[in-house]
Amino acid sequence: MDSFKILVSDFLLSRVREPLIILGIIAVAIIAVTAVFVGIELKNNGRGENDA
Amino acid sequence: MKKKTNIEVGWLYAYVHFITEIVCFYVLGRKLGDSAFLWLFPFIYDELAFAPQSIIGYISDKFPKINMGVIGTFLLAAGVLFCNVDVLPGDFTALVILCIGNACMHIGGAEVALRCSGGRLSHGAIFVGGGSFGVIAGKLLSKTPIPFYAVILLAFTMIPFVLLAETYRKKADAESVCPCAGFDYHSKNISPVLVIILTVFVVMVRGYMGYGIPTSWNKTVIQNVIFYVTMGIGKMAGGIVGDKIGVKKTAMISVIGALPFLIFGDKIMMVSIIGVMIFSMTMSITLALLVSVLNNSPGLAFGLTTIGLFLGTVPIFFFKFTTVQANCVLITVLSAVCVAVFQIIIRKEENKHGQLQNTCQ
Repeated sequence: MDSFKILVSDFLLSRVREPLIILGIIAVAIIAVTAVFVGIELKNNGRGENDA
Repeated sequence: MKKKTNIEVGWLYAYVHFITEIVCFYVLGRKLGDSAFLWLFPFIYDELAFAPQSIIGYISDKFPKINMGVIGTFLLAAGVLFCNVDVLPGDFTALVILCIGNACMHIGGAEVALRCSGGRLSHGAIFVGGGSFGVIAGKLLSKTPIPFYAVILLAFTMIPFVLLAETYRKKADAESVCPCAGFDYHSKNISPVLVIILTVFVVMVRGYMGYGIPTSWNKTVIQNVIFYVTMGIGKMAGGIVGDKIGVKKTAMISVIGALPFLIFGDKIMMVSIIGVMIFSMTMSITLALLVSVLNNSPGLAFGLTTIGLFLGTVPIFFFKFTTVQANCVLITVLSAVCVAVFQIIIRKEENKHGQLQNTCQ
């Protein structure tokens, strides 16, 4: 596995673990809200299903 | 008969996008000089500038009177100010303001360019392409002694362009119930949900591939400038070529055509930049596909592409392949996947602009 490199060392990861968890939660929340918006849009206005 | 569209809107927002990226990468370049921020700072930027664009885009779709461009300009200016004047609590508060400003600018541009395009790809492509020039300009500017208030003044030069572009958007909205109805490029044989998932997947793959392209030739500042300029031209060309020869052909050319140039261009700049240019053309295809499915919500559709880009770049922060051979294998495999996805989700007979219906279904 010489071609594969882990960029984040344990030392660095230990320093940024807390912000990473917060960022992870934010990302998941944004994606979940976006999925809801997409669902609403497809249900209300999406033409794809009508045309299929 | 082809519907007349305002291509100048794309150029107006290409300038706005250019300045936006200059402002953001000026701040990032300055902050990256501080080792405490190394790694985490660009990660936060990637997440908070890219991911929220879907939510901001949806708000903009539903409340068109909110001028995201103007809001974004003031947030960017505030972000630069607070990154340099330490008055806000927390290490990253100013960066968050900058990121949200960046997101607002992108959504403002997407709304205007897509609504005024009459279903063409070139408007959005020109707007997006302008950003690549700004990224490298901002990086270079951050290494100069230019003071932050000069960059704030530069940010405010966007206001007239944003306001002028807004008049085009109002005109497009007044002329049609659904200005983006002209985007009709996805296959109707598969579920719209699947089209969205697969398109976002392609954007993710592209985002990851962008970092895996072997470019050992890229060592000097001039070569770096050439790399980013080529990328910007490629993004713009993707939309223009897509309008000329069709979305499906452009998609296939941009993925298959770029492959040999990317693989064999590791040490030869001319070969590599041809590959980068062709590879960058995919951007406008994925955007057009998402707007095609969500033609009442161009802001939300644009935001989905940026979520895909964010998700595609996340792995880069943690691990990557370090040998040219491994990257070449990865690029080949991912390109094959993208070709298969495009074959499935893009409709065979593309809608001619003369036959477009200007109403939502």
